[in-house]
Amino acid sequence: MEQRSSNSSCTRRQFIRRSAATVGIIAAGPNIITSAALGAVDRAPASGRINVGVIGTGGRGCDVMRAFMAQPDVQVRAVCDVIAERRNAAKAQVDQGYGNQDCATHIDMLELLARPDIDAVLIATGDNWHSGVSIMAARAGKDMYCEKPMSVTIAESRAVSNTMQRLGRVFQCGTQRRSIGNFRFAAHLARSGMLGRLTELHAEEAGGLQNFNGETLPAEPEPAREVVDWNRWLGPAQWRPYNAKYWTRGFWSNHTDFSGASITEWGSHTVDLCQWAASADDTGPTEFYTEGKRHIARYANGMKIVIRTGLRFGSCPVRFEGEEGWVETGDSGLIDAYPKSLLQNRGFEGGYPPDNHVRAFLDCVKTRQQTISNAEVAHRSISVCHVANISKRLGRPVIWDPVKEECLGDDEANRMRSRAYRAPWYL
Amino acid sequence: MKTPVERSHFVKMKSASLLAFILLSILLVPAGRVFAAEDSVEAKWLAVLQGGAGWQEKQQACRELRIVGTVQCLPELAALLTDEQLSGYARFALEAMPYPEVDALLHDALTRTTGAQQTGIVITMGVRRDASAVSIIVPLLDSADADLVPAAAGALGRIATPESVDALAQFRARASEAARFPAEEGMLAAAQRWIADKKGDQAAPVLEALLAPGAPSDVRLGAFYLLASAQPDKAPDRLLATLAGDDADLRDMAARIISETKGADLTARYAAALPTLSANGQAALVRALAGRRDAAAHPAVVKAVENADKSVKLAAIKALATLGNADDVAGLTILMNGDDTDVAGTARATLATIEGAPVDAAITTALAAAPAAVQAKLLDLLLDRRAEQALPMAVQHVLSGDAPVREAALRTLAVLGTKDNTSLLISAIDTSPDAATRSAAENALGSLCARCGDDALPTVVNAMGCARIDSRMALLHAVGRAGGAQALACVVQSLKDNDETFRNEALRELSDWPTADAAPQLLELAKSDQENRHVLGLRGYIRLARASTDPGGKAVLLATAMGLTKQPEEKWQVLAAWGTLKTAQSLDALLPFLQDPQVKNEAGSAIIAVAAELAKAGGDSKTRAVDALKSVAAACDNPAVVENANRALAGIH
Repeated sequence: MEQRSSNSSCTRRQFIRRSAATVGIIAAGPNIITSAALGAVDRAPASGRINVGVIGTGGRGCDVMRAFMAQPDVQVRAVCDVIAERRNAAKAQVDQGYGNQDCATHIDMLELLARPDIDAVLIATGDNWHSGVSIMAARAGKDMYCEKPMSVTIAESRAVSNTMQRLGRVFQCGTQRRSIGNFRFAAHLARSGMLGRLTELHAEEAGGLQNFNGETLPAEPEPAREVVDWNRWLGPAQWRPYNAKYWTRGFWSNHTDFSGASITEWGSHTVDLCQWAASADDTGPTEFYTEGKRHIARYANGMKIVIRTGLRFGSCPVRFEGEEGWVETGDSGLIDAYPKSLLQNRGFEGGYPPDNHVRAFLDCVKTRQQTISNAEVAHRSISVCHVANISKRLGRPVIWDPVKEECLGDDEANRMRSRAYRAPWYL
Repeated sequence: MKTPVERSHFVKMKSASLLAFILLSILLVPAGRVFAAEDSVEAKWLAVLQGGAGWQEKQQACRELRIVGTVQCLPELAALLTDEQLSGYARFALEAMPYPEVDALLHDALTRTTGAQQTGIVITMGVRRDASAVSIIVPLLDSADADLVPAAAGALGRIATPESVDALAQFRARASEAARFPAEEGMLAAAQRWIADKKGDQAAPVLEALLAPGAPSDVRLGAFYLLASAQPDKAPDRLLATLAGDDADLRDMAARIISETKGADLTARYAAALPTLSANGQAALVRALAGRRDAAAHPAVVKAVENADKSVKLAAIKALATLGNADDVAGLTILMNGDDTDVAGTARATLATIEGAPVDAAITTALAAAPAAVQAKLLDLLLDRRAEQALPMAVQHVLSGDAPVREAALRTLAVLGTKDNTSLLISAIDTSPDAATRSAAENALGSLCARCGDDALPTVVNAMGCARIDSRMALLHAVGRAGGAQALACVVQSLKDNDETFRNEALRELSDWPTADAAPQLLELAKSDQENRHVLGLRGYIRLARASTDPGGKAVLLATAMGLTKQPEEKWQVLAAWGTLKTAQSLDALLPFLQDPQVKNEAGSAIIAVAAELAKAGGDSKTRAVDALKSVAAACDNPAVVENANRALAGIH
């Protein structure tokens, strides 16, 4: 790997001053050359390795972390989670994988981001933090693979995209289906014109999360910071007293302070695939409305995204319809099309592993090229989900200007494009 | 946006006159809106803020007023800006409101707050792009509050006026290294805003200052990236100069910019510069040209394939995946068969990716003239590309004297073969010169039958009359892959064959039959006095029962199966299958087996599985589940089963 500018001048970062002592300890850590540093048979030597920190080590974080660890040119050096149980389990996973005890743990992501020995981070926090941590990681000079959905509001992901652009960072959103065979092939059929002019693109929303939740829970005794760091868990969301139920996934996943519920949960994948299939990665629909239980996003050329349930082939299915044919696929790997000849007897494995997507990210970290799920692309697709949610919450159609990124003639809808961050966090 | 007059008015306002101004503003609001608000949602939440409600109710009011609030609610929200617990919620409500009056309220609150409340207000001023706030934010850059300084710098960057950027530049010049970055990022953000507003010339000097040596790497990268948009006319020279330089980060950023910007004339200009660059520069530029997807770069990239530097060579081969055409097939084919595995792998990937029917034709032409070692690779390539020539070429080569070629042809027939190829594959099985070819041919025929079903079946069934037992068995497997009624009848008929080996193979095939239409035949076998027929028949029958999705039908199948069991091991299988049917009927079927010492623990495990699910329904189902679990705990002697039963009981309670 060619010698590049060091990221070690992290002391210039705004948050480093707040934790200078911690940074000093980390920076002065032991410099023991381990066998891992020298490179085993199937691993790149340390000089050619991308050092990774993991922020957010719940189930999904540990799964994607596994995909990072499987890459021969990656060393996971530190993990961070505000919940001790998850943090310690992740360290155990890393240490077992490398056969040592070297993985550092952090409660505070600012400490991890301040480490000069980290090149890139995997961000797998709750949705509420995705944008905020991405921006802080960029300010700390890190490249990042950030789990989906990219944001809770339109303004957040716009800020992430702008930040990546002005600080030259590499960002890959965890929309890994862009790197999985059956979805890639389906998108190829649509993008290459083999389905004819596209008319309707169907995107499945997650089941069970359709109803928004804005509940404020009664106070419970707040655990010690070392057990659950409540302040850090809340992050940019406005303060409220501690209650353990907040951080259980089934609760926050449709709470309007922390997530975009069913439409962003799967739409971040399925709507994203529709945007890709429509070659609309740099724009978006112009009209949003509801037909029964279906949320329609209509483009200026008449093409529609239909956000719905009931498609075939497992989780996160999509269906692309054109004037000359259609294709439908999902996480089972099964795929159907009309005419059948489009498939040419292709078969695909099921599942939705992030491995190919992680590999593509790492290659871009080395070449500085844009990733397939870069910040602007991910912002555009999650914006479609957010505007659909705004229309759903207001219970009326919304006209959207994808250039100005504003709702036309609807002040209330425009107010829902953003949320005020809790100080001191800012976009 | 406020007018300049409004801006200056707000800046001069003193907090003492603020309330009067707000009241005046309310009076100036169109009358209909004010009256409408009286009975509106807003009035309801406004009353909450005005009354003695607690935190819970007031934060909810702020959430609602964020959407529906008019200027009427501003005084109450403004009062919360200094509240330690509710200041954030007040900002949550106010930040996106389109009323100019909000800015005045924030100005006033800023002077009356410290710490997190003050930092939050500064952040909100930035989000609102309040130009009139610049003069009151600038002094905060020198604050001792470590959170406030970056927030202030960020706000000035977002506001993006010449005054705010000047202030950031001055602060940058005097700030410590630790405090400098927020100012630099603020300047970048302001420049970014100006570029979006078509004010590139205004942004350029700011970006050039940030690009100067000595600035942090990522700040320089960002400035460099934005400068290309700020001054598009100057960009090509700047990008080529950077590609010729030795800053690896900037060089890669230059390549990224080149790949993202449009313009056919630019492609030719960049391509012409390719030979003048260092190897690193050439590799980066070739990647960039590939990203532009402009065929005008094709000749230059083809030439780069011959480059002595491996990184350039690999980049060029990879670039041909997007820029290449049929003329490149011959050269890439040679590279694919070279000794350098990196080059060969990249060439192969490129050949698989270049789009277009002419490429398929060129590969087919190359196949005809290639030595055997290359033919196999080209056959696989045609398959990967799903070229229309793939199947005829496979048919042509399936009986080749070269093993890799034969196997490649069979791989293609496995995927693309039609019913018309059935006889050919049967011949390939019969005439296969070695085990590997035979295995590949059997696999290909099985795949074809699975795909074509009844269309391919007659040919296969007819061929089963041949003498060779190994070929007959292979054909029997293919019949099994075909599935359906005709195939099932064929397999059943085969149970009566004269050859015992063949009969046993048919028995195994039937035992593995995947669909429920084999149940009657399997039941007959299960009743057989012949040991192997009974065992395999019952095993297949239990498997079908277990897979059944119809609860009623499943129960009948399982009850029937239990009646045919002879050995404890067979009972275990049926009991385990009952455990997958989460109904009260399952409990009825399972509970008696707790009295059977040979199978009581297996019955207990199945009961636990059923009861745990049944209890979720509540009522009688829950009572029955609890009773069943207690029976398991009392009857079983396997400690793990007893522990699981007790744990399930605890879970229900």
